[in-house]
Amino acid sequence: MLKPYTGEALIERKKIGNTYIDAYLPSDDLIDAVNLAMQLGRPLLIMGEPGCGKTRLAEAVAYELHGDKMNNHYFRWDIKSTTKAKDGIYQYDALGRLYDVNIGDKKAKDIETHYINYGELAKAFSELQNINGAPNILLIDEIDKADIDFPNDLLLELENKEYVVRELNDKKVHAKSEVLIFVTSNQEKELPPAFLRRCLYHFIEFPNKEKLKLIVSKHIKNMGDQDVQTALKTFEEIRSELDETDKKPSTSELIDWFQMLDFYTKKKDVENLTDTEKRLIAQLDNVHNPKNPPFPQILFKTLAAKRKTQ
Amino acid sequence: MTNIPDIHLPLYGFFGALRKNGFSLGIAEYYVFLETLSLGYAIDRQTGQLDKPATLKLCKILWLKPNQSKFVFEQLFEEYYAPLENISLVTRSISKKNTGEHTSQEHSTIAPKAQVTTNEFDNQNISSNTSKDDQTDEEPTEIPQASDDFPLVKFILGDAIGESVKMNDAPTDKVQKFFFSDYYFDLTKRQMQQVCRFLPVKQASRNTEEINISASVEQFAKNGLLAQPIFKSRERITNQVLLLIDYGGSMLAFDTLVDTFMEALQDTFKTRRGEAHRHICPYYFYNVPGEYCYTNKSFTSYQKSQNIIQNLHSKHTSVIIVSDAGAARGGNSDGRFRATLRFVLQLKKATSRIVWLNPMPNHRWKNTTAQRIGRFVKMYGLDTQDNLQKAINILRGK
Repeated sequence: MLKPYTGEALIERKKIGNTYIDAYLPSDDLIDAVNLAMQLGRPLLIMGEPGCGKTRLAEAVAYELHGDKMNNHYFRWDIKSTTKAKDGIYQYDALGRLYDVNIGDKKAKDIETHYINYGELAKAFSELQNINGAPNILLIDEIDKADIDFPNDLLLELENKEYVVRELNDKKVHAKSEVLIFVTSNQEKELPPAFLRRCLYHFIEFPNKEKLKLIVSKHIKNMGDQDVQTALKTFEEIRSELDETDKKPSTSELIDWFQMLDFYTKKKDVENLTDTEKRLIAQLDNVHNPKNPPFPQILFKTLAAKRKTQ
Repeated sequence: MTNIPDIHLPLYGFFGALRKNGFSLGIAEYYVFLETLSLGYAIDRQTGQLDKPATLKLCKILWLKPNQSKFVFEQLFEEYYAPLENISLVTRSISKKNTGEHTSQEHSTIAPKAQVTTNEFDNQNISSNTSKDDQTDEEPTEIPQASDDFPLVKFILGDAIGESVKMNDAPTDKVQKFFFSDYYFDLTKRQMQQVCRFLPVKQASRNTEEINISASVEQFAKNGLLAQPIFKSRERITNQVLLLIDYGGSMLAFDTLVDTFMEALQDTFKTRRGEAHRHICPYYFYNVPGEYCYTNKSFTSYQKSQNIIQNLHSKHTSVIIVSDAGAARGGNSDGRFRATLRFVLQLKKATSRIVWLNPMPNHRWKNTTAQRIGRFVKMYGLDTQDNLQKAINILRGK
């Protein structure tokens, strides 16, 4: 029985083992897209502004579907400009084998154990299914960084969920269980139509006011409601002042900024501040410096105004 | 006839319209849509009707791809959805054999409730449930999830396909909306690309430092000694194409055709990194290329033709002039001929690989300026793949 993704498991920051996963609040449209992709068995292509949460989506879905066992069922393949399709599936250590054959080492006979290094995609296909029936999750991050042909080289793997290892006599390996594939792209290059056809597509819009407030509230502990409102308004103004060609600060920048403001709120009245903290607060205080470019100045003005009222 | 909505294959008309307007979708994508409908998405539980916002969302996820016009998509959806308003999609007579095949094909990897339950939607249930009006108002735009108690919606696929072809008509709306589309030109982009494929001259450059491991290993295995490792060669495209495009006036009708041609050229010259602009240089002019040529269609930014010609590397640059040369209106003007000839002769001093593409077919050039110009430059129509092939062959030096 397929458990749908609801987006409710990561409303608060959660701990897994020794690390934390930050809260992730998807929009309703995004939740629908994820569930549709799961149901239909097709990859989900996610695009959006940089910093809007494309990469974190896969992790959030993995957490909700697999909980503590997340690390066994979540696979992440980061694409670089030099990545070839084969790299994600396996790498064959030809030189190592050549060397071993030359020195007469017996282990050269067993190719699979010693000379095949499986990549994230192969690992995702080989992983057994979680008992609760949830699919394994594979994230292919920033697919547009690679060559134009790269997505086309993956068509067989994405559609049939299988891959071929040439060096093992063309051994065909089929995915042992369901795999939900997330693909993110930054719109730097156009993706080939044959690839696009097979994917479902969703564009993550910048969140609306209510959603922004909700997102931000998960990351702060000390700021009052009034301050949050003021800061959000400031952020909106900044975004609207920048035009299309500038990089607008996005959701992740907003979260970073709020964490900074939160820290400042917590620390400003505390005695016995360390030197570093004092310096940091002094920097945040540095408002009327004409050398500052306008963007940070607006930020600092907010804080200074707040300080003055206290 | 146009008033019959296509219940059996819902929104098939919309799907066809999308394809005509350049959305590259295959029939598999339509089957996926039917599959999601039969799982219960976007269908109102009480009435069996399509929920409009949910359907639009579903179609967008399935069919709208990045960099495609959302506006066109939504417009077409509005038109083709109209006949489906208030029509129940659920039918009683279900051909189990057909749907059995359908479900086992599409659901090979996922095992949903569809294969287990054999509920048939009972129309009598609807009337008793209409009192639950508030339920339908709840979250109207959410795509409902398929669940245990949701009755199955099945479609008659086998015999309906023949019928739906008839029903694939334009919507009944009074207002006609128009889109520019390259669907009706003689030469499709694909055909152009097939011909232009051989235009870029690729050269393997030896300046890479990456070792091609598998090739080196193979060489070692063959020769028994490791003499020199084999380096990875990267291909570079060495030639350029100068495009001189007549824009405006009689050429406006061919604007889409010329744009398609330019796109086809750019696609064939795209390098690994996706940079085509280094190799294709388009310039625009009005009727005759004169002292200045413009770098954009609005003629606001220009360069001196002399400079453009001087910058040609004669070995590596081909020149393509795209213009009707007066053939569109059938005019025969001395002034135009002389001015064009002057320009062409200047070009010829720099390179011999010049070709003139005329969007009008050959038989329309008689007694026009085009015919006269055609005696000095190799002129071909942009109307058949054959003609384009001949033009490209000239540019390749054959």
